[in-house]
Amino acid sequence: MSAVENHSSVPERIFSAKLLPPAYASLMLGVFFLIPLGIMLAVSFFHRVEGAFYEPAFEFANYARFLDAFFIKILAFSIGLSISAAVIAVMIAFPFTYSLTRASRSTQVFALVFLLAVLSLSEVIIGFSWSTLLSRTAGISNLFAALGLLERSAAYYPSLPALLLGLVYLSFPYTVLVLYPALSRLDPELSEAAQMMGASPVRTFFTVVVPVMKRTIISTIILAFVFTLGAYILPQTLGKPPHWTLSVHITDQAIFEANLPFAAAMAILLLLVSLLMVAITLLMGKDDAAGGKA
Amino acid sequence: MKAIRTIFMIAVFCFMTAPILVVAGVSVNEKKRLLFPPKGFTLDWYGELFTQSAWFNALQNSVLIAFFASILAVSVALPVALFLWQRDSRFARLLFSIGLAPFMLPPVITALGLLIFWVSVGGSGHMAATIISHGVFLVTLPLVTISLGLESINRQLIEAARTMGANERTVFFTVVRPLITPYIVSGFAFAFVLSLNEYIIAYMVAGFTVETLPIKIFNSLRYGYTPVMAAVAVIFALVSIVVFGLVARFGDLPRLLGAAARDAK
Amino acid sequence: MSDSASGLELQNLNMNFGSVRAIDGIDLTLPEGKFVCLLGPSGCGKTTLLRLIAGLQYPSSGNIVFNGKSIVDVPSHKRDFGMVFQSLALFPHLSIAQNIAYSLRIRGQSAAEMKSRVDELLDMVHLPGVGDRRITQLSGGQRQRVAIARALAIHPRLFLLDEPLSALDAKLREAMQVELRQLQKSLGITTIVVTHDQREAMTMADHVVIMKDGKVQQYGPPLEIYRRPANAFVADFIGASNILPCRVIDDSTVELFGRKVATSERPDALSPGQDAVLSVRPEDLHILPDTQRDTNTLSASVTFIRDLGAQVEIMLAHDAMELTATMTPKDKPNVAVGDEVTVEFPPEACTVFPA
Repeated sequence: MSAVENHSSVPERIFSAKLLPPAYASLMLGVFFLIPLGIMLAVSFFHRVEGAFYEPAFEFANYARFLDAFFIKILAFSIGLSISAAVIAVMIAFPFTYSLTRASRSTQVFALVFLLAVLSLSEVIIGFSWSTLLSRTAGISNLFAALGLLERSAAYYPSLPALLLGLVYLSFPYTVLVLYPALSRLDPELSEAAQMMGASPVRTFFTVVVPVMKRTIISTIILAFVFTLGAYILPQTLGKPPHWTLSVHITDQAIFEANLPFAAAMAILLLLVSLLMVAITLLMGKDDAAGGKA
Repeated sequence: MKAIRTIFMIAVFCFMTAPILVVAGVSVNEKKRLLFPPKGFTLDWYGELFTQSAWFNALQNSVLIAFFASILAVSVALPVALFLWQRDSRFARLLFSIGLAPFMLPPVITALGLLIFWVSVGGSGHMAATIISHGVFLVTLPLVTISLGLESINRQLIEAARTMGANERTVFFTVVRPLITPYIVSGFAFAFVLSLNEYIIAYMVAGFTVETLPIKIFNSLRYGYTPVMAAVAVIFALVSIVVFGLVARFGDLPRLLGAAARDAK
Repeated sequence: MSDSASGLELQNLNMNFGSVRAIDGIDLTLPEGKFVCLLGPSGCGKTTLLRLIAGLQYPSSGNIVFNGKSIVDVPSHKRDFGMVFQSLALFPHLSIAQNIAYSLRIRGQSAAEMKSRVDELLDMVHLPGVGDRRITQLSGGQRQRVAIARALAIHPRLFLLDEPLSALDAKLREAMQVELRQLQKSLGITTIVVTHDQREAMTMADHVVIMKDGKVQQYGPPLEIYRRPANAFVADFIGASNILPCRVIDDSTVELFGRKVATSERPDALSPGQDAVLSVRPEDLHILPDTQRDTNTLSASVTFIRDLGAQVEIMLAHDAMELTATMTPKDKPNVAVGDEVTVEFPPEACTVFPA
């Protein structure tokens, strides 16, 4: 894994022109990503001033306010909702991705293009689409009514199941794309070996594929959890105000309550939760041993 | 068993397409009402996107921001990826991780950080601020694709070029760049599509003055329904499919997304 | 310990991948209790044939009959065959004992039954007491043995191996070939091994199936195939041959570069005047230091001498045609690169095939 050439043996000017591009990149990431996060951290300790934004201070009031039962409940609800959506998404996505990796290359390309398109679709559009699909006048209940399953069509949103459905939809393509590399590298001979030893396809799936991929599954759930934690539009379009998540409240505090210090404190907490989760997946190691070849 | 698998895959596919199909249906309603199945057929709402100044303005903003932000993202990602590839130093790895971070974290965190930043330095509300913010936020995508491209280069090619007398600069322009161009282009494409669709950062940084299409849809949604939103949603879905379809057509998409290289077996 | 006798019959078997005919009309009857090697260059369809027998792939047409019953529609997990895969496919999430006991667990055996069978199998492959270890704690050769033990756990009716030794280094591979052969003999189990290594096939097999382009080129005991190859491809693939263009003159004479050469009898398919090829093994060619005789000889110049210690290879050229002759060091003629020599073709060693 050594570099192309051994640079230490070649005498070079210290300020080489070659270092300009990485210096520019570091500067951009530093100024427009790290410094904003730093300022946000500072602001989270600032004192809020009604009418203006804030004044410099060092107080824990914003964090203390979070301990209020109301915000604790929001945090707990956000985490519970995101975990539920993540688990459901992975439960559907895992067998789906497994089947996909065993399908023909052209099916795979078709599905990947489609999933990438859905993944990149704005949350606004997904929220609008689902609210249409679940609406009274243009929704699926129309179909049920037409089939005689319902007496008359009804609106299924805003509601918690609608929100959960939307979040599963939102995180499904992401989940598939996270699982795809690991599953497509899974040695197909492992499943074939199990079948030669008498295991039916279903039994093979549960006694070989799932256990071999255990760590991948858990880290995918965590990544999907962090991903759904960022959902901002769906709780507002498909859920009711009690279903608003931390992401919604952060924006609400920042834009409509003009309370930047408190919004910053909540964002820092969200950041810590997310970093913790990402750190767990990194500690778990990258991939499962995908076959006997290693 | 195979039948069950096929049915399952088709069911998931239907679940994924259902909302888009319904929106495509309502977008061609003749009346300005949310109805499905559609009553009558018209493409007027697609036309309004270009004729109604408020919508067209948002379209222009979105495309401008996406274009320049993607160029910016590639310009930052390329040196980071090259830097890590050339010298596997601690700093290079750190820089790479920072480049990955915006995409790993809930975007509202980056959005709020950027809001506070632009308010502090006085860029809030300008399109340039949105472009820079998107550019940095979306660095992750070209960074990942370009790194994959570099990893796939056999280092002996570089060594061969060096033994034939090419200096580092010549090696880059004659060997490395041609090999990673497809990866740069797909990184640009990914960033472009995601910038078009991004809401929260654009909203927080300049949402009240520089309306992009997602912001415009969400704002309109608060005041009620108009079929133009449905038209925009359909166009966005089509743009994404076309862009990723092109990436798949000219590159190895499964490979780009982490599948093992196709062997001849 | 011997299993129920088994015979395998392939009837007009075809397998198409798109427009590629991977298996092209194979008819073959494999005897019971024998060790059969499927041998051929890569892409010849040997692995596909093994996978069809295993039930991992479904043939485009044709029938597979086992012990008198068609098994084409029996899924692989109900065939009760044992298989060793090229990657070995040992389960990384299970211990060695759990790997070996997997098929027993599927069949609902008790813990005690499984334990005694696992111990028996580990003894059989000379790995006693490693049952609790992880796969990653074993060397390549040990993993090989575990994979073999695992495939044999249920006393399979048929034992299939797909390039089982390809991951091992040369020395270990040769030792395992002998061991595998001895194991098969003691169990008397019908065994089919896919390999591209003719030496491996010669070491282990009772019968060899030579394949090319999805077709069987020749089937029979290894020595018989070596001595009487059915066509020029087999002659060249099994032990190198010099394949030279010639023209048929009569029953036992051909014209080779303008000279008459006596051969063993030509096949019926050839008539006088037809273009054909003459095949002669390098070890059968004799090199004479000067132009002494004129029947069954060809003049040539020495282009290279490769002295491998145990064997000497002399490369020769007659015009643009290259020839190779091999001999033991004590039979090495006193020639050097550039010398003009005479090459003698013993008639009984020269076989004629259609071009």
